[in-house]
Order: sequence, then C-alpha cells, then structure tokens
Amino acid sequence: MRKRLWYTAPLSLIAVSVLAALLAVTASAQSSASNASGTLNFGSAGADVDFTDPALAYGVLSWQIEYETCLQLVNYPDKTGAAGSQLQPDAAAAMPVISNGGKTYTFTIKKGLKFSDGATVSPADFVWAFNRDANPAMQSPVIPFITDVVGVNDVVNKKAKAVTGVKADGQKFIINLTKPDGALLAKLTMPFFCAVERAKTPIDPKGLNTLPGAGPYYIASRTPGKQLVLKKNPFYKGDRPARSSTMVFTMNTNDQQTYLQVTNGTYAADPNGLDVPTAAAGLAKKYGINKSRFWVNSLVETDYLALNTANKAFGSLAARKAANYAVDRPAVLRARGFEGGVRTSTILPKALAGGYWGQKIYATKGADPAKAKQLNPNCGHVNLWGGNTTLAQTQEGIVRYNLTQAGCDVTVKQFGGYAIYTAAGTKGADFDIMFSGWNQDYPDPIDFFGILLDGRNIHAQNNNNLAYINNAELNKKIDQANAITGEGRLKAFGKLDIWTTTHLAPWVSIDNRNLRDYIGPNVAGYVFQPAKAAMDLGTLYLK
Amino acid sequence: MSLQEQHDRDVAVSVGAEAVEAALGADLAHADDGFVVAPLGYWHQVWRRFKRDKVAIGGGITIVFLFLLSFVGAPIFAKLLGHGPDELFDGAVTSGALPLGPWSHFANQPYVGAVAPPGHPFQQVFFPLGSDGAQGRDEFLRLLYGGQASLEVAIGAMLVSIVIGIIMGSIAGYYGGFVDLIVSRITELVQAFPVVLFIIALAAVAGPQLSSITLGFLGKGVFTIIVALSVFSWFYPARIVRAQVLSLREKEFVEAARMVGASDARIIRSHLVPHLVAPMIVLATIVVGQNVLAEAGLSFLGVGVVDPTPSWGTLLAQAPAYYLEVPWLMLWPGLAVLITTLAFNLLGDGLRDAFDPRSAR
Repeated sequence: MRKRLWYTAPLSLIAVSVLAALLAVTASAQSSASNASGTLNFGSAGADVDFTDPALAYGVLSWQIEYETCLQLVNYPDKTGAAGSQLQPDAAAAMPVISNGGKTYTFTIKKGLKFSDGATVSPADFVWAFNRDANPAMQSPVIPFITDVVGVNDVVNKKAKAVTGVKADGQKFIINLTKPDGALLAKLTMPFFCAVERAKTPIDPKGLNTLPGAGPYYIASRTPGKQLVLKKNPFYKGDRPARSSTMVFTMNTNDQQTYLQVTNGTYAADPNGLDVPTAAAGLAKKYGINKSRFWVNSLVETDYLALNTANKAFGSLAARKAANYAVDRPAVLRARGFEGGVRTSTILPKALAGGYWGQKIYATKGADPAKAKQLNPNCGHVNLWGGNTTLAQTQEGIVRYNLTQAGCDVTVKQFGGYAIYTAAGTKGADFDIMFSGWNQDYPDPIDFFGILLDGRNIHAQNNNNLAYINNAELNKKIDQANAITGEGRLKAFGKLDIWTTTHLAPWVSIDNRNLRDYIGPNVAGYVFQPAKAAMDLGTLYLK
Repeated sequence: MSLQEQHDRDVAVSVGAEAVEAALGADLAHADDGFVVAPLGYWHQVWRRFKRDKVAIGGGITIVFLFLLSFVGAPIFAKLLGHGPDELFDGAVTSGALPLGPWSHFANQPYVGAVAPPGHPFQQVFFPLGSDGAQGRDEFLRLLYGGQASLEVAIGAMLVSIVIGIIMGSIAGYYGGFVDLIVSRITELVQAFPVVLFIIALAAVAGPQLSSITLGFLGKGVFTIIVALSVFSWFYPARIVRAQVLSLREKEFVEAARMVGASDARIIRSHLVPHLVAPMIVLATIVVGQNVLAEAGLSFLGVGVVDPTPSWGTLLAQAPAYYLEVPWLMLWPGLAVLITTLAFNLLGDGLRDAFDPRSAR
C-alpha cells in the first residue's frame, strides 16, 4: 500500500490541476461567448421605426437598423471620428470604375455573399433594389436622390417598368447617369440601395416588416409599435462587427422609465439617444463625457422652424425675418439640456458650411421682440405645429411665448411621431410655422439645399421642403453650387447659406444638435458612427 | 303654560337654553309673561346642525380661502411680484434645463450671460416656489392661477351636470311610464359610456376648435372639459332626482296643486324642485371634488386645459419630467388638489348630516 501511495498522490495532484485548468478554460470560453453572443435589449423611448423595408425606411432609428441588416455596394466602416467617414467597398470587391465622363459607375460584386436565408447575393439584387425604389407603387422617398439615373423618371412616370440605367452583367453591377453626380457614392450608402432578394421582396406599398438581410444581422421579427428583433446573419462572412447574437428593441417606451432601466442595466441603451434632457448634466458629472457610459457627439444636423412661405402669416420676407428675431434660440436649445447642441441662425451644419458657419445673421443670444415688431407690426394669427413629447411641448411653449411677445396670436397643434411630417408634407398644409430637424442622409450640402429648399422638388405629398419655398434665383444658385466639385463645393454652399438666410429667411434655424448616448452598466463597445449619426449597434456587447 | 312647557323651562334654566332649543327645534324667546316657543324653520335647523360640525366648517372655510386665493389673491400676488404666470424668464432655468428651486431670486437678464449696463442692473425677479420647468415660469403664480381653471372646471361642470340631472330626473320621475323608460335608458347609456376614451377622442378631433371657446373669461381648454365632464356626469343627479320625484309626486301637496289647475311645469318648478335642493347641494359638493380630480387626470393625460393656461392638472402633468431632480414640482399642485378635494368632501359630509340627521347615525 505504501509503495503505491507515493505515486498516487502526485497523480491525484496532476489530475486535479488538469481538471481545474479545464474548468478555467471552459469558464473563460463561456465568458467570451456571452460577450460575443448575448442578447442586447434596447428601449426606444416614444419611438418606433417608420419602416423596416429598405425602400421606405427614412428615419434615424430605421437607418440604424438598416445599417446592421443591409449589404451596401459601398459603406462607411464601423469606426468613429474621421475613419468612420471614409467610404469603403462593402458588397463591391473594390471602389467602382468611373467612366464615360463620370456618368457610368461599374462595381464588381464579391462572390460568396449570402442573405440570411442562405440565398446568394448577386448583382441582380442591386438592380432589383433600384427597380423597387423607382416603382411608383412603392412611393419611396428615395426618388429625389436618383432622378439622374437613366430611366428612373420613366419608371416613376409609368412610362417604363424597369430602370434602364442599372444593369447586371455577370458579377458586375453598372449604373448609368444622365449627368455626372459627385455625390453618387455617398448616396449609395443609404439603405434604399442595399441588396434585396427579389423572390422575398415583392412590391408592397405598405412595406415589408421582415425580409432576408445580407448584412451582419437580419430582421427576425417585427410587431409595429411594440417590438423588433434582430438576429445575427448565420451566413455573413464579412468583416463588420456583430458582437451580440440578438438585439431586441422594445418600441415606444416611456422616456423616464427607459432612462431608469438603462441606469439599472435592464436596457443596454435607448438607440435614439438620451431622451431625458434634465439627466444630461448629472450623467456628465457622474461618468464624464465620452469616457464610459455617457457619450456626446456632434451631429451634422440642423433643428429649425420651417416658415411656410405659401401661407399668409410668413408669406413676406419681413414677416420671416421678424420671426427670426422673435425666437429665443438659447431658450429653445436650453430645453434640450446640458450639451444639447450649439445654436445657429444659418441652414448648414458646421461640417458642411465651408467655413461660413457661425455667422450671426439674426439674434442668437436671445429674442428681440422689439425688432420683430418693427419688421412685422401686424403679425396676426399663426398656426404653430410641433410634436407632443415633453421636450417638444416645452419648446413649443417658448416659441409660442416669443411669437406672442412679437404681436402674434399663436395656436399650437401637436402631433405624435412622424404624423407631423405626413401632414406638413402635404402641399397646402395649414401650418404657418413648424418644428423640424434635418440630419444628413449623406455628407454633402446638396442633401440640405436640394432636398429641403429646392422648389422644383415640391409635389402634392411627401414634401421635405416644408417652407414650400420655390424661388427661381435660389434654385439657380443651388444648381450653380452643385456643379462645383472639390474643395470649392462646401464654400459655394456656405455662401449660398448666408445668401438664403439673409435674402429669403425660409427657416428660423435654432441649433445644430448633439447626440447624447447613455449606455447600461453592463454594456461595452460603444462606437459613434459619424456618417450614420448614431451609435453603432453592431459593436455593442454585454460585458 | 302647559306642564310640558313648564318642564322645558325648568330644563332650560338648569341646562341652558341652547340645548333645549336644539332638542326642540324651536326658539325660546323671552316674553313679558315668560318664554315663548317659536318653531324653527327648516333651514334654520339645518344651519344649527351644520355649525356644530367643526370639520365641515373647516372644509367650508378652506374652500372660501381657496377661492379667494385663486380669484382675488392671484392678481394681487402677480402685481406684487411684478410678473405674470405665463411670462418666461431665461434666468429661471439652469443650463441643464432644470427649473430653479423654491425661494429663488435671479436677475431678469435678456439672455444668459448678458452684462447689465453700468448703473442699470437687471431687475431682480423672485419666484417663491421656484420655476415650473424648462420654460422658466413662476410656479407659485401658476399654482394660484391654476386654481382658477381647476375651480372653474369643477364648479362649471358641476352646475351644468346638476341642471341637466334635475331636468332629466324630474321629467322621468314626474311623468313615469314611457317617458321614464326613455330617460332611464338614456341615463344608463351615459352611465356606461367610456368617458375618458371619448374625451381623448374629442380632444383629438375637435380639441383646437373647442379650446378656442373661452366665453370671454375662461382659459383655453376649460370649456372643453366643462362640456365633456358635465355631459357624462349628469346621470347621477338624474337618478337621485328621479327617485325623489317618484315619491313626491304622490304627496298631497302635489295633488292639491293639480286640483287647482297648476300646469306640470309649474308643479315641477314650484313644488317639486324645492324639495330637491338639499340632496342636490350635498351631491354638488361631492361632484365638485370629483371634478377637481377629473380635471387633474385629464390634463395629466394631455387632453385638458391647454398650455399656457395653467391648471393644477397641467402643472401635475409637467412635473414628472423633473421628478428625479425637482420632485417638489409634483408636491404643490398635488397638495392643492388634495386639499380642495378633501375640503369639498368634508363640507359635503357635513351638509349631508345637517340636511338629514338620520344619515349620521
């Protein structure tokens, strides 16, 4: 017995050590697995996506979702800062070959790309995306961006059934334009142009709630107004991050409750950003800014009051200038809370204004009701439209008071969610002044001037030109600025901004907003994607 | 003098005239030849019973005080403080969009960071209860002026519902038969109607139009709530009145009125309605309390009084946005609603006991 024991003890020790090592390795593996494959829960305070169908989705939250589920020809990387604004190939093997004097773009699509249902991604899927977008039954908001693509207008006007300017040729996808468009590549990063599987994405004016995605995730389910679930695309082989296996979005939650639930870790974050303005100062003090849980980033965005030039109240330049003097910009901005943004009186955000940002054309330090009354002594009745959130109501109260001080008789009408844009976007809408905001679709000033102020784009419905301004001189100047490429482009638009604000005053610009994000205690991997103007959902993970 | 009166006099001498008066329900007045018994009127007896209820008296005094504070005190305080309830002050909001706390003094600067010209400092502003939110208005003045809107809603809706209730209940009870059947079914329909949902729908469809009706003295939105509450709360007085009239119409005095040729309208107006005053007064006090709560609830849901018109409900509705940092914003309007509701309920209880002493047992 004793003889056998001398080697039994060391053997037991070795066995225990091996067992302990195995357990440690398993535990470690489990830990890293939970990091990479946990479920992230998000609470979307007071908001749902407008659509999940890439042909129709046109909201910041919708595009955050699409950014995770879409496979684009070219895209912005999942990085913050300047690196996040550099275009790079995504489904394309390389950047396109541009020929025919800038009118033909030829992409070579990578092989082996797959949708979440296992189907192979082919150039035909990008062709179908264009045809679906242009189909008049879809009523896609993308049309103003692609009128220069050959054949789009024919499809929109029901003269043709397919866009002749886009075609698939083997692994190649070719776009033909009627005239060069320096912003085309940036436009192609919008979800409207992501690969859609023809067999699973029929023409549906109501939009599809779920469809196969070729990005890192796909939309597994959606109950409008309540919940949306993203799951990792099992066939995705790209290099974009997908650090959680599932993302569950609970929609239309209460803002205060969501804030508390992010605080205690029930939710990873509110994907729309911090929705409790009064909490920002406390969070900055507690966690610091851009250090651990509280993040502040500038958006390429302008909050403004659109002055309806088609109606009597602000039909004259004097009345619109008066409104610009009447509104107390600091007070309206202050309602957003600490680090809510920077005030402005011009149209373009700093990044797009070519050095012309920050010119104080109107009173940016406070209201000047005396000057407003002097400019517009007979203001009369004014219909003010705005949202119905707590913040919106506060801002409406301030503007109503400002306009009343300037001699106007103000009636406020409040809307929930996107309803205000549907109502105000209908030509002839009965508002005189309304709260609005515009976040860049892609980083180019034409995205502001072309979409929001070019009167030639005014239609019966779905208008983004909420000032309903159609000024021939302005339209001409937009064309002139848009024709400029290179470094002079931003300067040209910056000058145009000053001219428009001074000579037409279609808006009361208020501020360029900051995005404030607040993440849960058990969440890491925060990245602000500057081009998408939102937190990158794919990089987040549970600690 | 009868033996009984002699006994009463003896008792009065020994225990005090007040007690005997109360026991007899009569006045003992001195006459040359001794005490003369003058019977007390109905209202005199009610008042005697009511004034013994100190809690109800306290409720009544509180209500008078609230009315004085809201309708007389509010403009006086506005004058004293030098600003109105709807005025916005940049200095009344912190950079973090938080309202100032109670007992705040600040400079009325045109914008944050403004420098006053030498020798002309900015006017100092005083907010006794701090500011109401990120708009920077005086919470104290809004509370006082808010009382006007809340009490207007409560009293207005009560008056309309009681009037409708008396008319409908009287008709149903007096005529009976088919008329009673129809009125009773309408009453049940109104009773079962989902009032809050209806008001939310009404506010969505016709809110701006109705809110613009002020009759020259009401705040914006007050008329809407008065109409909505009264249209759906007359069923309770109607049922009480119907039950009373069903009993009263068989009484001899009604029979006598009919015999001398009085019309139905005259009988209802002159002979039946006076008998309904007591229960209606009691009901009115309770309904007012309920209406104060209803206004607060509806305004909290965003379908009540329209900003900038203050009401206790709208003040309560704004407060949750600051409940973590400035929780007392919920306290002031909450206390106002609590005190008002309690005062009206205590007054109602006291009046009920005074009108019908048996109910107290």
